[in-house]
Amino acid sequence: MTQREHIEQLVEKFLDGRTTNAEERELYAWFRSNDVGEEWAELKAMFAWYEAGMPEQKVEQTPQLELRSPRPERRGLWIAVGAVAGVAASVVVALTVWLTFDNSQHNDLSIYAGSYIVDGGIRYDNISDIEGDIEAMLERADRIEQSADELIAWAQL
Amino acid sequence: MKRLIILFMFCVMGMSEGFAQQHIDALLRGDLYNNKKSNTTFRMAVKRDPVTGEVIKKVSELVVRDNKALMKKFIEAFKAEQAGVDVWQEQDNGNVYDVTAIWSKPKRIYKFRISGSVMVISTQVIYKEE
Repeated sequence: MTQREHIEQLVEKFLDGRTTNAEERELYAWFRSNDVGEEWAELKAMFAWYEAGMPEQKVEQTPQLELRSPRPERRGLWIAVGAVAGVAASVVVALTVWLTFDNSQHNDLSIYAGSYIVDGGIRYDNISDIEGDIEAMLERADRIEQSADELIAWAQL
Repeated sequence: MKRLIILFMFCVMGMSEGFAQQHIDALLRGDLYNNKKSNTTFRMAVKRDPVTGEVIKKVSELVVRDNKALMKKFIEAFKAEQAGVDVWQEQDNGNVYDVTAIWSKPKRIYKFRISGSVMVISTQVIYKEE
């Protein structure tokens, strides 16, 4: 068995998680001190990383932490911005609806200004409360007027 | 026996507004119905021009229930106006008795209907045609 074949076996064993500490140290040393070629370049880097106490992991963690740290802030910021925008949009929509409704209601109600109902001796003159009754009465009045017009037309023949 | 009486009267147009409908209006303006015991509901609708606020039409409606005294007063008031109306229609089919009185300038349509123990008086003054 050549040295390279032995190392291949150890690499397989390492990848399977069956190597001893001594075998792992052997792998680290061999990859560190040998020019392994391009096909094993990744393995060389991997064992160098393990031998150095997996520094890359710390390096990766640091940026991750750095990245993760601002993320919640950014997310929070975006949530805050979104919330403010949502509230602003809601206010605008509500204001628009309210103004539209209020104006239309105001117009409708002002059409009937001066109307009232007295029922059982109690006077009701809040137009918004009696609006339905007033409109129904006006419809009845319109029908009476139509009949009256027919009557007038017939009488004038 | 079903009876139908239709009577039209054409009177001199342009009768003084002060005379027209005064008996009925006086009753409607009064507070006969303005108490709990009167068994009445009175509605007054004022319809205005939405742009100018000018009154287009005034409509009143009085519903009298089980109040023969008040019903009698209104019948008498209508009868008192009969001579001055432009168009008068009176119908009685035994169950329903109604009277329509119409004046012009401004156009006024007064109507009452009695059915059983209920009387409905409807008046409208049209100041501006819609």
